[in-house]
Amino acid sequence: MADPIEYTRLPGAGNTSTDGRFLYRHRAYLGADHILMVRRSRYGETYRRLYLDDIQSAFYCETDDARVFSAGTLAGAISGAGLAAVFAQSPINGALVGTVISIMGVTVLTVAFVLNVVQGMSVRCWIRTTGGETLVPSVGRLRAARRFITTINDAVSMRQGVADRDAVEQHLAGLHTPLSGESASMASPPPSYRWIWLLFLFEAVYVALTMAAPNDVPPGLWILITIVTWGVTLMLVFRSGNQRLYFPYRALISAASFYVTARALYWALYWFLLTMDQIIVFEIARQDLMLLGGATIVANVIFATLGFVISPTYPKRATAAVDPESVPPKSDES
Amino acid sequence: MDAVVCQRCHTALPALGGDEERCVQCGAHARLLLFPALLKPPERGRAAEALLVDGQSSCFYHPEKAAVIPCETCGRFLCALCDIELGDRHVCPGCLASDESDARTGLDSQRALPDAVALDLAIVAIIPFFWWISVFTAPMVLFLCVQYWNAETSVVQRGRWRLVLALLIAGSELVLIVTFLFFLVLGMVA
Repeated sequence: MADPIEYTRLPGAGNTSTDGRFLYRHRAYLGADHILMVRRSRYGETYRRLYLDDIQSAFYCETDDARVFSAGTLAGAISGAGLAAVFAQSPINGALVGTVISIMGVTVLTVAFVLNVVQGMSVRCWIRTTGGETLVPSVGRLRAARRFITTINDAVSMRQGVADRDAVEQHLAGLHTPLSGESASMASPPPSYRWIWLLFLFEAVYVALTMAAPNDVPPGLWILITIVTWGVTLMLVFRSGNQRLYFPYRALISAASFYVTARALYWALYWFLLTMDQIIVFEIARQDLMLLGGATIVANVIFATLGFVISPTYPKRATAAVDPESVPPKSDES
Repeated sequence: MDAVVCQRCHTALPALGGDEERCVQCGAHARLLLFPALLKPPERGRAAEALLVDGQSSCFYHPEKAAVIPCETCGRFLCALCDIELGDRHVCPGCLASDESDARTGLDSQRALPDAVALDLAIVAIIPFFWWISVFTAPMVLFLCVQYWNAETSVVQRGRWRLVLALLIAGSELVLIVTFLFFLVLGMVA
């Protein structure tokens, strides 16, 4: 058995869920000659070692993840507070349960929002070795990244010394031309989901019809539309995770997912109370129907419009640029 | 090496000077450190030398090549081609690939955490309506605690508090079970 190696814990700890089923806890440790990256599930650990002699570069950069999370939780908390206010003024049976559940949801979202803000800006951190580039999942916040990189810098510099600035610049210049100020090109543009946002309009139309004639429109259709909208929004959330989308669009997807989830939970609660004989479908007061329906229509129209307008539309593959000098001048026949 | 790209606006960042800087496009914080290993040319493998005289030690994997060093894990003679350096240690490809030698070379890629299993088994029996499964789980927890008390569970330092807590909970559960059975038998006799 090899002698146990003494490790020092490096700053930062992060969680990931690689396949949607397991939550992994990530930590990084510094040994005498290597960095140990530990991915811990509940009943086991997997390890990856990056040897200090092989490390070529370390890099961190701020991301939008924390801002998107803040926008989503804030939107969820605000809509939850609105739902709680509607429940509090409603005369229907079971409104008290709805108020309590809404307030609990608002509390959880507010705590998540505050904790996220306190933790600071989100970053991603990479270490590059001769074997390739490795994302460091344990470093997810700027404060941790600063301390992590400083510790790594000291440890690697003790093993390798300090890089000669001129030699590095000469080496880099030989590998690629500087790209400062230019936009990085995407390998393949992701598909645009612009038209999917108009699904929200279908629901708005249905709600308007229901408000006009409550007894003539089948309620099962609303459940179907809600389920479809929820599924589509979840698909947007999962598909956007691997794409390079800009902040307002990701924030909108996050807010829409919270909105649709909150509404689905509301209807699940409604049908639960219905089956428990706590309320009767058409016992809802006329003013409650108008308030809830009006709020749903406004929210759906906002989401449909914003989603359609700010959805990223990527240009088709660029054709070869035409050299203006190679184009023959138009003959001045006129 | 590819151009370093800002993770917010996906603009290529200019060569960073080692200190934290801001993206010129969106103002995101970024820092890039470069080390001398970047300039180091890739190492070339050593060529094995052929046997020169009869009776000279030969490589276990290449009998026609001269041995230069024994494997520190299995003791087999190795030529320069088969000698794999792991820090200060020298091992053969077979030992490097085998799981059994992982612990000896200190290169385990994964380990189980039986102390977490023991703790969860002990805790699950505390949950209301599930107390009856302690009849099965408490002995299992005791077995796990005894079996893995001195075992190295994690590569990094990990205390024994989970095993101690599991032992205390499972012990209490066993005491309660024995007491319950004692009074049950006593009642039946009476």
